[in-house]
This record gives sequence, structure tokens and C-alpha cells, in this order.
Amino acid sequence: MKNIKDRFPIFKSHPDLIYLDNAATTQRVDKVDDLLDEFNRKDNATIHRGVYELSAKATARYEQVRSKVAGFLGSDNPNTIAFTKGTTESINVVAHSFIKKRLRAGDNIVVTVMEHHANFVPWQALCKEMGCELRVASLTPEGSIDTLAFERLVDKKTKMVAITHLSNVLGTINPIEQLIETAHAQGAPVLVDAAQGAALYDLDVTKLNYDFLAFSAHKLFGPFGVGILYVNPEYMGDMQPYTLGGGIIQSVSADEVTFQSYPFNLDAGTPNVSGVLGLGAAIDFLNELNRAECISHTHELANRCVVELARVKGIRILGGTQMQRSGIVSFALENIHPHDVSSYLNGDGIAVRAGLHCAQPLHYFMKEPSTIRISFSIYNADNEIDILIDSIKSLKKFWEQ
Amino acid sequence: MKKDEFKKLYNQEVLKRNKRPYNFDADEEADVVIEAYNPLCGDKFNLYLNKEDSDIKSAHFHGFGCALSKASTSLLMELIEGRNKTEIVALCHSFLEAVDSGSSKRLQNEVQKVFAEMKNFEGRVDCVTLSWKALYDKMKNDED
Repeated sequence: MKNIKDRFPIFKSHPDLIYLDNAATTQRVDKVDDLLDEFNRKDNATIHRGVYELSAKATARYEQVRSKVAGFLGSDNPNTIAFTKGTTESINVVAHSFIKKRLRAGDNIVVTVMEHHANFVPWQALCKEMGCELRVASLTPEGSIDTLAFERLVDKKTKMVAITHLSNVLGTINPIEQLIETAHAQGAPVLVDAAQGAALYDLDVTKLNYDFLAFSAHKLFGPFGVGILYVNPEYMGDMQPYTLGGGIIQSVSADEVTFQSYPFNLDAGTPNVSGVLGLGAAIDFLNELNRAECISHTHELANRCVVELARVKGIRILGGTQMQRSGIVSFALENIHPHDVSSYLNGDGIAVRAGLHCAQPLHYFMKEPSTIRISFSIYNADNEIDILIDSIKSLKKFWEQ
Repeated sequence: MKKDEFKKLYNQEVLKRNKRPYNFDADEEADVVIEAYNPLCGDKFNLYLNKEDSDIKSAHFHGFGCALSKASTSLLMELIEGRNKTEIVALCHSFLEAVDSGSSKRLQNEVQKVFAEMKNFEGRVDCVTLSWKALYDKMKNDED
């Protein structure tokens, strides 16, 4: 991973920054910044509207990104991909534009207790509205999904299974292939929240066989404000518009309206054209990387971080040593609140996340009121762990004075 | 926030009250229970108030929060005992105003001044004002 940090302009502005909040957002790679800058200065125009050159060019580039994202997921059909505002909107689209009309009172939706609120609350609200049951799969004490308990929850009344690929708090990598098989055996479609894993892990649809996949550009070293939704071709015809307005219309009269088909029925209003092009540049960057090497780099950092943290008295690490951990480690420090820890670490130039990380059900389950989260990415280095541990030790000393 | 600024923010008043907060227990028999909650960070305290005539006879609190919110709530509990609703509304108002404006000149209590100066520490103001706001909102609403 030598020299990779040089590709990220933020570290030129903040040379001493130790950025350990990659699960919240990754830093933007130079390629994305360059593209956004160039588009804004030289090529700015919206898509699918004008027949002038700038607009036609923007439209072609926008549609090329659709193909690029499909290819990134192993699909040869660009129309499986829709662009949204983010992972959250992608999940809400599936809840409201796909599954809602299929639900009947007495049906159920299965999620896990480790879901981010984005993949929990939309299903919870929908179940309440439609008289359905939200079934929440539990975890082992290690922090992995209890797959046997999960199997018992999925039945013929299950109309959707919504699971995260990778926990944004515990860092657990879930056996989604197995969970998808379990759901499909009962005829239930599966949505995978891939916000945390899409940058580095192989989420090839031909291998994993998910039905819906949601993730965000800003966690792929890309820009804010762009989400991706993959829809299995089998369900594309069932996808209804989510936001109504211009850009998605087949024809409108005073009495009637007909819409374009998926994915073009999700592009109401003027889309985030520059953001989508920035996503394309981010995917180009990901394709340049040796992703297996990136994964082992972040895993090694997280594993060493766990070992070093465990040596500090009074630290409780979420999740056990047996679970499959990615680059995320969350912990609590006895007698010192996570926000106080985070403020102190900030004094040493270390950026971490403190709080509930939009995962309250998980924190209730783990009986932790709040935690500190360390999340590594490709530009983090081993010596940053030493600085982190020294800073925590020095905080403990200051606190106990 | 640099390390020396952190140490200035987490001064002796804060650390002392964080370690030994005033009346830090759940008084389940209290006349009034007010929840002070910040959904963004999860900090949550219950304020337990007992009245005698129009005065607050005793004020206890319990829950989970950072050193700043805990110490600041501890001071609030100390200050409101023996005061009536109008006085408490005025007390909270002057404190919240001082934090908001960054000027603590008009505050009477020296420790309160220390907390009011936390305006200068971005991102942590909500911690200091958490319980003051909850108490002010409740008492002001009851008054209106």
C-alpha cells in the first residue's frame, strides 16, 4: 500500500491527520476531485434534456457510469443500476417502490440486530404501516449472525430479507451467500446493504445472487450525494417511481400519466450528474487497486488494533476474536465517555467516531450505551495504531490524576 | 481542539464533578421527572425534582453522558435546590444565553462561568447545555 496516501489530497492539507473514521466516509481520491473540477469548469450540463453538444456529452458519460457500475458488480446489464442520493435512499426505494405493494397483513420482513438505522427503520415503519411483523435476527456473543436462529425466522410469509454485508460497528463480515440461500429457499428476495463493503470486497452478483444491493459513492473514495441501487432483472419490471416529477415520464395528459421503466423511472428531477461522473472515476480507481491486498492491509491493521487495545486496562472491545472482522473495531473505555475519548484523540490529530453510529438496536443488544469506533482504510498505516494507543494511555493518565 | 485546549476544557471543575457528581442517583419517588436526551450521541439523563410549596426541595439526576454533560448537570442540580420555578427559568435562561453569546460577564456563579466559556469548543456545546435546555423547556412550557 506504499504511496497510496499521496493519491488523497486531504493529507496534503492535513499532513498529520490520522483519519480513522472511514466507516463514516472515506477520503476523496485525486482522480475524483480532478474529474469533478474539470466537469464543473468545462463540461457542465444536465442530461437527457438538451440536444446540444454539452448535454449530449454529459448524457453519454452518465450512462457510461451505469455500465461501469454494472460491470463492477459483475452484471452485463447496465439497466440493473439506478442512481439515488445514497444507500439510505436506495433502501427506501426498495421498501416503497417494490415491496410495499406485495405486503399483506401477517407477512414478515427479516432483518438483523446489527443493521444500520438505514436498513432497519424503513422496514420497521413499513411493517407497522402494513400490519406485518419485523423479525430481527440475533447475534452470537461473538458478534456474528446466529445463522441457525436466522434460518428459523425466514418462512413462507417472509416477503423480504434485508441484511448488511458488513456491520458498521462490529466490523463483522456476514456470510451473505449462506443467508441469501436461506432466504431464497423460502422464496424471499434479499436486499444487501453494501455501504461498508462495496469499496474493497467482491460483491459479484453472479457469485452472490442477491436481488437488491445498496451502497454509496462517498464510501468508495468518491463524492457525497450519490447512491447506487442494483435490482435483479427479475424484479426490474416491478419497480415503481419513488419521487414523482419530470425526467421519468413516458406521457402525461390532464387525466393520465405513464412512466418510463426502471431504472429511468427513478431519475425524477435533475440528477446529480457531476456526482455520478465522480462515482465513475472512483470505480476506475477501485479497478486500479489490488483489492485483495487492500483487504488484507485493513484486516491486519484492525487485528493488530484489537490486540493492542486489549492490552489497555479498562477497554471492552465489541465482538470476539472468532468472528470474521473487517477493518472496523469498536470499543468502550471504562469510566471515560466515548465523546471525551474522541475529543482527547482529536488533540493528537486522530479522527474517530464516538456515539451510537446509527446502530441503536445493536448497542442495546450489546448493552453498551455508546462506543468509540476505529475504521481503517487503504491509506492508514501501522504506526497510526501506535499513536492511537499512546494517546489513549495518556488520556487515562490525565483522567486518573 | 489541541491537547492544551482539551486540558483547559476538562478543567478541575469538570473532572471533579464528573467523578463525584452531585445527587447522582435515581429518585423514583420524585414529583417531577424530566428527560434530557441527545439522540445524536445517546447521552441521556433523568432529572428528578421534589417540590416543597413552590420551591425545588431536592434535585437528583441519573443516566449516561460525557464528562461535560455530567459535570454541567451536576452543577445545575446544585444550583436549583431551594429555588422556585421563576428563579430557575431565569437561571437557565441566563446560562444558555451566556453560552450562546460567549459572554459570561453577567453570570453570578464562578463555576457557571467556567461552563459558559465552553462555547469556544465547537461540537461540545450541546453537552454542556443538555440538561439546562431540557429543564428550561419544561419549566417555561409549564409557565406559559
